Amino acid sequence: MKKNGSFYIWLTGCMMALSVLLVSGLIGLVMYYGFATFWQKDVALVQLKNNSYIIGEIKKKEINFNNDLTVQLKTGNRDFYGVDFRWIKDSEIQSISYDKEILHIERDEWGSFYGYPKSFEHKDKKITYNKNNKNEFYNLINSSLKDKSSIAKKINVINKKIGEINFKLSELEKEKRVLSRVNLNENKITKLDEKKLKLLNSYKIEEKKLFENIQILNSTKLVVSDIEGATKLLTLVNIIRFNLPNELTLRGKISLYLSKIWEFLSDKPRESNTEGGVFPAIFGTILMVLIMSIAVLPLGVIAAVYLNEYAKQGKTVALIRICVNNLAGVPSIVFGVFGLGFFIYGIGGSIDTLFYQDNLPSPTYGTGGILWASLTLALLTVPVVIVATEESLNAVSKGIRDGSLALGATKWETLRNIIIPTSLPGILTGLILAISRATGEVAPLMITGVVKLAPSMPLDGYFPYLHLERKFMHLGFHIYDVGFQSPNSEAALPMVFSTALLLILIVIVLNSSAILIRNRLKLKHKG
Amino acid sequence: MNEKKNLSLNENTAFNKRKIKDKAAEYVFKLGGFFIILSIILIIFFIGKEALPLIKKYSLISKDNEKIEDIELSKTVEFFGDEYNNVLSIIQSNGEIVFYDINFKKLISKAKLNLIDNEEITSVVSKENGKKYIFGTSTGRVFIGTILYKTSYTDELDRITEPKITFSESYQISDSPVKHIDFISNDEAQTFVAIDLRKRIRVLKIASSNEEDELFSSNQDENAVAKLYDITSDLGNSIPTDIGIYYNGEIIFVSSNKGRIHYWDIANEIDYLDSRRIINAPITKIEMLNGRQAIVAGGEDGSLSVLFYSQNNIVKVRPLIGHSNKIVKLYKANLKKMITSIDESGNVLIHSTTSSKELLSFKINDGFLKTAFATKDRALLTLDKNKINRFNFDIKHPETTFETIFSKVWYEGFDRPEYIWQSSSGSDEFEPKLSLIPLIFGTLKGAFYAIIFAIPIAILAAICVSQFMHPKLKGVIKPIIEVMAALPSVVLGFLAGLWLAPKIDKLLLPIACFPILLIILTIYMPKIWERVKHFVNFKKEGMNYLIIGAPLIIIVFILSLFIGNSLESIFFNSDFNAWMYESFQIQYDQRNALIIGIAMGFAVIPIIFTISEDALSNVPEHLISGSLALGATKWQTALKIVFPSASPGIFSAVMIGIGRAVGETMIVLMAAGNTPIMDFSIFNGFRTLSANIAVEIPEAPVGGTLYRTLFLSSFILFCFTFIINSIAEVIRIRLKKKYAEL
Amino acid sequence: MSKGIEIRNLNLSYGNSKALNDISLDIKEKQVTAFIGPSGCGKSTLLRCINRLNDLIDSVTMDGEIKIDGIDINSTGYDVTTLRRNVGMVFQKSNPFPMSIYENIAYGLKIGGEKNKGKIDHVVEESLKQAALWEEVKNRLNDSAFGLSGGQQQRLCIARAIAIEPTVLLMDEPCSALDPVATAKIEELITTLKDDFTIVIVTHNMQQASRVSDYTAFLFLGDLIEYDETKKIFLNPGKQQTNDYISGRFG
Repeated sequence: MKKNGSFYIWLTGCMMALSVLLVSGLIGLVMYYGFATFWQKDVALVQLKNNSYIIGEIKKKEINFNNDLTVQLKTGNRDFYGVDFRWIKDSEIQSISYDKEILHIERDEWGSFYGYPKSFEHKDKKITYNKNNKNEFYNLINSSLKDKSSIAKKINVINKKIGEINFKLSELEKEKRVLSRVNLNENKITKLDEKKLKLLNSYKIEEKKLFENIQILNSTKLVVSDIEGATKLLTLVNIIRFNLPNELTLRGKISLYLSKIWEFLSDKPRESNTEGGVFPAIFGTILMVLIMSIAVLPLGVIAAVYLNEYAKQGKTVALIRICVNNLAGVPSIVFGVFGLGFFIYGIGGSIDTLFYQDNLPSPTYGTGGILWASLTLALLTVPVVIVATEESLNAVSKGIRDGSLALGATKWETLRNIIIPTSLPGILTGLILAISRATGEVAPLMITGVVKLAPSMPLDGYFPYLHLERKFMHLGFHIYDVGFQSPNSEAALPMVFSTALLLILIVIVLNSSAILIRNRLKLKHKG
Repeated sequence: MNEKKNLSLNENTAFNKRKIKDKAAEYVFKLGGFFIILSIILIIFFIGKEALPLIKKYSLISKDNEKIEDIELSKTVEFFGDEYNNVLSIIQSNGEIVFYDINFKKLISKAKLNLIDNEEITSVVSKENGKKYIFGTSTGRVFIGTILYKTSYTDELDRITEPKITFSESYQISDSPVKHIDFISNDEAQTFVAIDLRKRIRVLKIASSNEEDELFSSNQDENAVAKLYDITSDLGNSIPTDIGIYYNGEIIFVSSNKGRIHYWDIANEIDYLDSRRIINAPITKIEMLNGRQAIVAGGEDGSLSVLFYSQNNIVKVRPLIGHSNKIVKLYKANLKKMITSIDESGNVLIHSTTSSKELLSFKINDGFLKTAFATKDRALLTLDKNKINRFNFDIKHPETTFETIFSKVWYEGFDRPEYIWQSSSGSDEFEPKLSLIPLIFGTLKGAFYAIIFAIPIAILAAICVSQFMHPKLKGVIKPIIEVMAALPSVVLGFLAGLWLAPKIDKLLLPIACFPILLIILTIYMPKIWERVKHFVNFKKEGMNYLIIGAPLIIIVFILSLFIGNSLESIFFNSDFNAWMYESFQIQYDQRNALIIGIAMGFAVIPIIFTISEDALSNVPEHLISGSLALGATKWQTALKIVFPSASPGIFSAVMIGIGRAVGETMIVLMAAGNTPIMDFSIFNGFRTLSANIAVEIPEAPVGGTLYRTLFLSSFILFCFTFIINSIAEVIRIRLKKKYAEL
Repeated sequence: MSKGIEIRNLNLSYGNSKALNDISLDIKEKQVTAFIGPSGCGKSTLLRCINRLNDLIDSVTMDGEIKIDGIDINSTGYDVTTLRRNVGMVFQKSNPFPMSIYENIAYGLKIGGEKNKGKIDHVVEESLKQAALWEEVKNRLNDSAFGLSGGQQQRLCIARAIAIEPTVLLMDEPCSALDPVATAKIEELITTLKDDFTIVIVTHNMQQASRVSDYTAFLFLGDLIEYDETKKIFLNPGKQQTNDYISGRFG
């Protein structure tokens, strides 16, 4: 056995299989929990042996330290019970049924509601619920939700106007401050005050409109009760979505599932990041990656072209290459520290003193923001781009170079027309790898401008449209924050899995396309 | 075609444009490339530069002086400066308090203490950060003076400070002039401690009522209990030299000419506790440090000793070196742990009391009468015949030296030197403990466990993939394993901290069984394969490991869960962790090095795998063929030819893996428990350099000691990973050359 | 003023090792001159001096004079790209650009600033005809150049080089990577091209040299051993070394 070493060979084989299992296991785990988040499970009506009842989704079953089998139920109704989840012993359960009348409402605050409907009032219609008018009841709610969406659009418009007014007001204030510092004439200041008055008036008008619209929403009333009979009043403002979980057909569940995934990708977070969507984080990540690419691509390509085409090849250049390579292995937090000290406190501080004195002591550029975060990541990933670009520049055969030069082309013309276009796939590979890295890095971002909840997006409708000094949200940081700094981590866990799944999918897609492009490149150059 | 071409210099403008473009491009690339590379170098220099001030040497910034008019300075008992160094309070022996404005160079006002004829002020101390002056007189009386500074601004925005002092009633503490006085006030009482001309020690305790004003009431006797004690006898033959009071007002210290410090408990009555010999010469001065847990004693021999008082014992912690002459003055710093000492020849030294480093030394002019230490720790003031001299300095980072960062330090409140990282706490008087050793330990511990998890799996898998696998299968398996490298570490960390840690907490024993059962499985694998291989037809070599191996591994895993759980319930009362704690005192933290080892292993395995696999695959074909042609088996060839050939590459791979493990931040942040302890146990947590930076730097004040120490840790991380990667790279290049030659 | 190429006292070293020793010769206008000699004797190096491709190698030091049409091509202020437009080169291994056949030939013209598509089309056709490739590719001008066979690619490179109308055409062992049929085609091409261009060809194939060239220079270890009309070199060489090489005693 020892001579042919089959034990050892099988050992290596097992380690290989183990590695594959580890990878697939991890991805499978994330996929399982990540996809499962949005699936609406049946809601159980549990009768306990002491004759009380509980409603909830059965989440897990575990054996606790007393060796009892316990079941975790998501009961929702945090405003009623104080918690979303409850553990009960399996031995306490008398029976479980799936009552088709159970109503599930997703709300704007206090999380999910599970219970029974009592009455509904919308415009001039009022229905008290009983088994027979079920369809009429829910149809009315559905039509009211349609009304809600049109009112919601109006409210959006009003909010935007209010935002504009606020913005103009703060600009006015700034102007006033500047003028009073320079001690200019009274005339201008009175004019500004007039403007301010006008703005305040229109503000009042918009505010009134907003109030009226919200009143309309609030005039619709849904009364519900939980399993123990306690009632609650909900209005259209509170109701995001409702369904009868135990009555949903497979098709119904699938369409609910898809609509929740859509909400996940396109909506803002609710309930301190435990519900809703991650759109701002997606947007922030993409915007940051874009700015980073604009910085890293020219930097990396120019440096690579310089090293490969213009610098005198020898020990110094080889040394520089080794340094550039090694930079890729330096911990990302070190780049974050550099970004903090040099970009933010150093350059940002100077920008503030030179251009934004009026805002001081509140920092504008002297604090974290999307610009500094992107630049920090650009520095972090520039070695990747340089290495990939050099690799592809090298692959362009000497024969072609000489051929172009022999035709009387200048060095620049050869670069521009032959070498760089041929290298483009390789450069692209480098860029994609850089992007993939930037999407997943969190540590340097934590200290250069990422936040848990950004008050406004870095890209909006107000001049200068792109606000480079604003803080932003990021998918990777979202995972860290929701997972570890959430007040309600049990409830947050499914969202974290889904976000992690999204992130993994993005990264795998990016990496695979980089590998595919690279392989295509190798084939093409064999000719 | 073929007209005659003109070879002379072409005047065609289009042609010149091309030349210009070419030149321009050249400049852009040369400048750009140079600039990029420069900025990469800039990073390390910037980080180093920010860390450098920690060990910078300090010197006097400036010296200046102002003439003081209209005041008879030779009659001065003491003088003090206010917070902004605008107003001097000059205490004259005749009871006059002269307030002098330094900026406007004029007298502001004078106040007078109500003294009897011929009574003089013989000692004054400033307490409560300059809010109270305590006076002792030649007739043995003591007074409290409370000062309020009223600030206002002139039209030109200059600051005007108007001090107002109100005096308390006097108390008789002795019948002989008061030479040294000290005072403390707390909820229970106001306590004066005095040494008089006849070397007697008197303690006067006045129990407080609620209103401080009652102290100023006219009739002394109306007050609640005022008790006077004489404790001179407790000293025996020794002569008292100076006084100190513990921060809580319950212990008083008196130094003696025999080099001892005696201490009493004055919480209720006065109980003599004990005395300790500190030095072999008379102690001339003692000073309680800011925070009041530490004492500095200065001696006639020029010695300075830092002492800690704890549990009724005084321990000499460290000496401060530098003086050879008698210490005449000690000043504590208000904001930092520094002590300023002046000897009788006018040498001034400032030491850090935590690190015992001498921070600054200078000499003050001869003929100085009195000295004072500016409240914001930025200047020493001296008074001579007619002027006030200012010696200005700015000591930014007294706490750190090479020793405090890298070796054990004895901090206040501890009984011996330790390595500690604790950057702040609730109180203002906290002593920052900035040793990097616990963090470096944590970093190495994390990397260690990650590597021992990753190395066997990664290298053995690399051997399998490069030597025993069909190229097509390899083309599928290799990318799958390499995908692990792309997984963001934040996801790994989250899974480790939120999913894996709770599971392993409950399943420790089963998980421990798994490797053992796996090895046993592997021993029987060849035999199983012998039986099974007739039923299956794997065209590509290597499929068998995957198709047969993977399910068996899963089965073994489930089996080990089952066996482990049964073992646990049979032998360990269903709680292995508790059993470990009770029997061996081994504490199990949910987030610990085992979890990190597995999680970081995920991050490190693909790196070691890829590079090792490359090195193994690139061993020249003819070597392998040569070995096989001699009749060696595949395994023998792999072990004896391929592996040794590729070993520099594998070594390089491990180095890069270590580099990655050392720098990992997110996984540690989320799954390591994040406490900076130094413990080798695999079952508890730790904090690494990188996680520490991420956690601490957002709150660190820019330019402060903590900020710079974090930059120092970044510098260390950078250098460490850079060096490891360079070594790995050099080895890799050498290996390439070697292969090319073969 | 003599046309053609005058080389006087040319010395060249790669770092410390001498590659060319005091070479002097005159290359006749509109004739084919062959450089022959054993491997490593400096033929290609000498060839590359004529279009200053050796400038690209850092370790090269050179002195001596090369004049084309009476002008010293190494004088400072004389622009090298102008030189290279006038002195074309075909390499040992064909090196078509990763573009279409049309684009490969148009490259030189576009660089030179030619924008007129009609003119470019015309030149492309003429060059391909002159390189005897037109018939084979006229219907697939937009296909990738990599789709051509080895011999076709080499003719493409020749077409590309002559498209910009040089006076001199340098060929560095142009057939060494080709099969005998393709080689024959190229040799045929050379004999027609010499009506329009001064051709210098480096070859290690003596039969090729005797077939194709009018003048032959024999180089050995960096020295010019003999230079004369081809007929004379091959039938009645002046130097013993030449004789030994030609009769195959070494090389």
